[in-house]
Amino acid sequence: MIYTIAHRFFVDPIDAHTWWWALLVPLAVFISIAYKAVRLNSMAHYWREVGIMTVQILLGLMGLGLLSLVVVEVLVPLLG
Amino acid sequence: MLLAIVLPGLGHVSLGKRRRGLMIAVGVLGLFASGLLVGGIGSVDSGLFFANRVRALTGSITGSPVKPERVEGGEPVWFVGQMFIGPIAFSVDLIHHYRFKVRDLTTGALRAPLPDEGRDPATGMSNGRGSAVGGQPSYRRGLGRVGEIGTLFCTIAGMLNLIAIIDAAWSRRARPGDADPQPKSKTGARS
Repeated sequence: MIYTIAHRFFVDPIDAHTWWWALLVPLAVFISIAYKAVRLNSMAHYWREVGIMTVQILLGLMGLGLLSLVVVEVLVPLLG
Repeated sequence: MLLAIVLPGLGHVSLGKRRRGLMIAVGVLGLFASGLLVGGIGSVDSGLFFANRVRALTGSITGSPVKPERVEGGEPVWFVGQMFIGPIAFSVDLIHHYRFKVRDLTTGALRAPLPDEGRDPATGMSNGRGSAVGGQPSYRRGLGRVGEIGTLFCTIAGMLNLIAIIDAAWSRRARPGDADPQPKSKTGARS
């Protein structure tokens, strides 16, 4: 028997298995919002600083991903 | 410091840093809610590790030994980070265990329900395989990357709040923009 299962928000996990990588954006945004609220001396340019940190996190993660790709796809085959 | 533990951002608000407190609350609670949205309530699962320790301690003080709750699975190491969100994290964890997990018929341990396993809402006991209403268990456990990301979101939220708690408790440096603007007096006198 096939059931149509209703999704219950905050109880069941969402089906993000194909676009899980997009969840890094809200992760970076929320981390930046909380961290910059603690860290900044002045709140004058708060949102600009949040934006900069968000981009830094995302670029850093992309760089790490690229580095991993190079190691696994290029360097490791050279060793073998 | 106590207020910062009770609710993210409340410590800063109590120190007159309303905007900072609000942004901390948005960041920490937003991340925690996103974690629950992505990974479901199974993202917060202490396995009642801390609740059982408290029970044992209370039992040793009162002299009446309390039997620890048996739980299958659980991620107490991740909950070490999540617990810094405060009572909200502990409440979600307890709701997860006592409102969503099923009690195994043979061992009596609390565990995640099987895909088609029903749960008796009154006792929490398992109704056995194939008994779930509409084939839907009380909750589904996040698997793979979705489960990992949900747990990660909630744990990072807790670690961020730890930074905020430390800042609220020990940072005494006066920073421009901390206090909310006060209305200027007509005479221009400073208090």
